[in-house]
Amino acid sequence: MRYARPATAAEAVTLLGQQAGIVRVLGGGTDLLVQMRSGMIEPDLVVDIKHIPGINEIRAEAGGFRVGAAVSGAALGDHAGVCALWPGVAEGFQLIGSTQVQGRATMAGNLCNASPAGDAVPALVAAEAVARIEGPEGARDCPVAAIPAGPGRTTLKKGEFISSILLPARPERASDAYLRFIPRTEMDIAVASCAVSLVLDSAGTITVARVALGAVAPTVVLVEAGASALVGSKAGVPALAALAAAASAACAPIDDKRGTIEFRTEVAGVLARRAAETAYARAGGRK
Amino acid sequence: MKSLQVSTTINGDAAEFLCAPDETLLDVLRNRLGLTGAKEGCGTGDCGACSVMLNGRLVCSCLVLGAEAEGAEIATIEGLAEGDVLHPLQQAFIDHAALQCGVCTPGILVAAKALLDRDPDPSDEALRYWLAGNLCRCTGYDKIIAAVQAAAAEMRGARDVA
Amino acid sequence: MSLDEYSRREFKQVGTRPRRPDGVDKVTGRAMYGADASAPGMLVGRILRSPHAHARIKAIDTAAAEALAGVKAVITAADFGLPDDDFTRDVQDNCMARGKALYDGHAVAAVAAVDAATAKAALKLIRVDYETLPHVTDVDAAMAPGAPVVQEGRALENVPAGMSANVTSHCEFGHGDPAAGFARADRVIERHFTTAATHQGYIEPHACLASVSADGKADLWCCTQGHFFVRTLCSAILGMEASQLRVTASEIGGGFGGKTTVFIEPVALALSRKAGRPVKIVMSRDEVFRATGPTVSTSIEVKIGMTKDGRITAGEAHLRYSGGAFPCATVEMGGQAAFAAYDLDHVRTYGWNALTNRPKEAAYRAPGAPQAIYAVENVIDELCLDLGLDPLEVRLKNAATKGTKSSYGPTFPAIGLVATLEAAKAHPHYTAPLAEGQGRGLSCGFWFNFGGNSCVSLNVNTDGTVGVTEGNPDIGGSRASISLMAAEELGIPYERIRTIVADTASLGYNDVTDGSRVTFAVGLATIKAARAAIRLMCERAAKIWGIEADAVEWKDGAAVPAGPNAPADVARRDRRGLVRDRRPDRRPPRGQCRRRRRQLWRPSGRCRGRPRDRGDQDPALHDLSGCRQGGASRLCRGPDAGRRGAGHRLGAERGIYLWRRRAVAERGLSRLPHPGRLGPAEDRHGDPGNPQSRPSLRGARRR
Ligand SMILES: Cc1cc2nc3c(=O)[nH]c(=O)nc-3n(C[C@H](O)[C@H](O)[C@H](O)COP(=O)(O)OP(=O)(O)OC[C@H]3O[C@@H](n4cnc5c(N)ncnc54)[C@H](O)[C@@H]3O)c2cc1C
Ligand code: FES
Ligand code: FES
Repeated sequence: MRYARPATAAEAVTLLGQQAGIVRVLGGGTDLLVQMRSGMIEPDLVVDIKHIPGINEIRAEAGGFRVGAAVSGAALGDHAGVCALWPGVAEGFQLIGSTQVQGRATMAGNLCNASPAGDAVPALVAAEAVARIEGPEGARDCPVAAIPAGPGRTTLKKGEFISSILLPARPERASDAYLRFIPRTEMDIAVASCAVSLVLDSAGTITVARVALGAVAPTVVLVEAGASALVGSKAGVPALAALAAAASAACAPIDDKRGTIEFRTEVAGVLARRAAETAYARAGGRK
Repeated sequence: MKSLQVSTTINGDAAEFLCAPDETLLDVLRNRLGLTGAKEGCGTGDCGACSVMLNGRLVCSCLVLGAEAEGAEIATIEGLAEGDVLHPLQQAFIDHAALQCGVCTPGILVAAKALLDRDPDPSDEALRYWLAGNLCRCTGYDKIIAAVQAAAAEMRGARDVA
Repeated sequence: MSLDEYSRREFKQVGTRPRRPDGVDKVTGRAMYGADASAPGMLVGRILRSPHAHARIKAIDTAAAEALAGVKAVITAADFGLPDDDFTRDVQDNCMARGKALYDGHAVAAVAAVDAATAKAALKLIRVDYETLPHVTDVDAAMAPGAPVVQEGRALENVPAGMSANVTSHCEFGHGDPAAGFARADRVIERHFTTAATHQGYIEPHACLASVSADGKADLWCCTQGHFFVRTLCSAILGMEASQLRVTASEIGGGFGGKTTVFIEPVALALSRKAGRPVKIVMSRDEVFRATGPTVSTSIEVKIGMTKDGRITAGEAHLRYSGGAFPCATVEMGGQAAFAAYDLDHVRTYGWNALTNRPKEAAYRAPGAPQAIYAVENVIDELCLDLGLDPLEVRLKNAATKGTKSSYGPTFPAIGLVATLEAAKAHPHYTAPLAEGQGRGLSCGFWFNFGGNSCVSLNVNTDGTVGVTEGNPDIGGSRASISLMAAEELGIPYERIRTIVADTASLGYNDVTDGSRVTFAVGLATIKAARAAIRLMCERAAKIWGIEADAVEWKDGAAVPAGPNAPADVARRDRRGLVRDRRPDRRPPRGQCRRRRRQLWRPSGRCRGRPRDRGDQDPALHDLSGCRQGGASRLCRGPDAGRRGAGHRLGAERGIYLWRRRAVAERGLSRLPHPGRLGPAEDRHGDPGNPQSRPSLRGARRR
């Protein structure tokens, strides 16, 4: 195995594009090193992107924030601006692992590891976050939702990597929330999860909603019917019930030691309802 | 596999080492630098026994490549005491019997210090969440929490006096 | 007082909370655990493990691995002999599969190479030709007719013919007639329980460093609960004499029973023997879970009958245990413990052990008992619920007590269960109101205790401090307990004792740290050793003082002349510095005496008198002498000590002091030196009246 530490995005793209065999981007390494250790993969080249200028930074951009691909959970958690604007994204990201894992883990890594249960992903999808991808053909922007292709697979092409993720601007009275179910309180993988992002009008009526589920299908699921159930409501009981039903209906989970199909399906609905309530309250809505 | 030459700073001292590209920082510390205070309990980020500070952040050294230490600042359990004066956390762990077999202790101390450096007065809940990535099989955690709180109180007291 | 005699005693030190002796090392990262040792020229050992739960090993080709640059040794089962006792052979076969891989993770080959990467590469070059076989991991399935046979021919004679070949042993305990008992019950409940093989989960994976030299001498460093037992197993497996293998126990990062046997140690030794270099093997967590001992897995039926008022009329249990791929006797523990907490007229347990394709069971906190007790206690709770009875009262009503014929045979002495239950009942927690979602449970348990072999060496150092050498790895503070017990017995401060865990070459045999035996058994040995030391010191003090041994008493860390046989004038005579015993035949040859004297007193340069002849002739006496060394001031001889030759700090000094005090009092002197903990040696100033020159009786300098 070779270890490379490119100083520019272009250099990284070249390294990633030219090396034959197994090539991996190294972000926080909290997935990659575990996979290497277990013998799951033996990369020929590991490209450490953390020394590319700007990749460790969070910058304000067009009312939102551009989060560098190497920004760790701990660093994001220290950023008051992001936490205030996108609390659901911050809480999803920060649920990953332990304090130690947070010291290293990145959102881009969580996204590109492409686990169906990745905790950062549903909130990014609900937030309509956009990944900036560097590649042999230059930079391109791609909605986060379009990146996971299946368990362990992404739509990134050879030579490409994510350099940053843009969390867009939000109007007043907007917020988001993320919840997951795990048997333990910490350090576990989501059995089911849900992110909800809402925009309210001055009367507290939901005008925009996005609902995304994790761990209940091969990739993150955007629940349009759930969003429609919320729009026009004030997150009242019928709307929440409809949301829960829509969320459960959108599930296509697997049965495994963490949870049965039935359990995951039901819990996804419960989580959607609760996440919507939290997001609604955070957005300043009162019932 | 060609070895890499790495220059870094460990507990304030400059250190250089050669390591394989896929070698972890934990292996480097333990096998190449003789710093065996950090332990490997799992090698997969689950137990926290390998905790060290890397550029001011708490990390599992088993999930960091040795190569990534280039130009970095690393702090390990070996640097916690000042000479023969134990850090208040170390003293509190002894006084409060917060260790049994002690193999998790270096990692827990490094992690606890990282918290107290940020938050000198954490709630028990915050402390338990902060230490969730440090597994201890023996003590049952309560004494660990009590010891960290005692050290925190002592450190606050010392600071107030100073 | 004999050691096992029960007596109430006011403790001065036991019961206090001293600092643990290993504390500083463990909070600073200095403590050396299994994986923390290294040796010059050390190789990295790695083990190849079976990916199959059950497979015949048709051939292993190690040629390519051996040819890889940097590989210094490759071994398989062929590198081991064939021990003739089943027990050792099973341990060996578990460390390295012979003929068949019996579970996923079973070791099939091992390499030693210059570094981890080379070792890893070498493992990949080893070709194992497996013929995979059907496997069985469930105990009930393993006992069913037609189940895949894990090992042939392992059944003991007590297994009825016609059972699955996986059934290796059967046991039965009990008395009375359960059927008659059930007939008298108002309610009978029978339930089935299964428990999984759970791992001990210690945070420190197994690790060892082995070094075998060309002359056959070997050293092994490892994390273990019992290094003497490691020596027994490894020397048997490697065909070495025990004297040639020295095992040192590292600090241990938890064991919970799982480190009471060997997994990698014989492999490391065999690799080292073959490579001619030290070999270190450190298991990964994955290896720990795949190839080291979990508990038994079990399938249990329990049937219990109870009257309306809560008396258990009969109990019966069928216990089917599997200790993995090797025979194990753990079910006997379950069979004995299941109903042991209760006083029953009719009770019977039937136990079966069956082989499965799982890792070999290792001890885990009362091996076999919790599983059986869990089943029994559940049924009792259900009966209580059904019959509307208080679970604590029911247990009290049925509790075994002194005189109960236990369900497994012996009649109990006082066992304290009733007292424990009464205490639980009286505790506020038992009646505290429960919040929603809270519950309160109660269960009785039982485990045997045993002493086992323990060896302790206790040495009084030249400065009066004490070293205790024990041979049981300290898993959670036993060195502190042992030091405390020694301190209690000797009457000296805890801080003045250092207890260490010695290697197998430095002490007699010690059983494993298990079965809750260490504080108890090593403690008893320590107390014995302390008392023996006291006896010796008193005897020697008597010799020094020229009085009868029984006129010397040990008090607060010092020998004092006391009792009816203490001559009334002993103090005066010594005060004058007279040497009592001047019989010429007792004097050493002149030259020897001088040499001795020089040796004794030169460090302080203050020898003013002639060492006491008799003492001088007994070199051992000097061990105890408080002779001042290296100018340290905490020594404690009286002003006349030089003349008398030897006063020993730990004990005799106190006596000397007391005499002098008496003498001084007789002479009406007002300024008394008094026993201080600190205090420079008296002979520093040479003035008994000088408060600076307190005889430091027990006094280590305190920091
Ligand atoms: C103890 C522990 C607990 C964990 N708990 C959780 C949890 O609760 N929830 C959860 O979701 N995950 C969890 N994880 C998994 C992991 O921490 C997260 O997925 C993390 O976000 C991965 O980020 P990383 O930067 O460490 O990724 P890396 O390990 O660096 O990379 C992961 C994958 O993504 C690729 N990659 C990384 N960055 C980029 C990039 N910028 N562009 C393109 N490809 C990239 C890598 O090549 C690799 O294939 C846990 C891991 C550990 C060790
Ligand atoms: S060894 Fe690094 S977390 Fe366990
Ligand atoms: S003290 Fe043993 S694991 Fe924590």
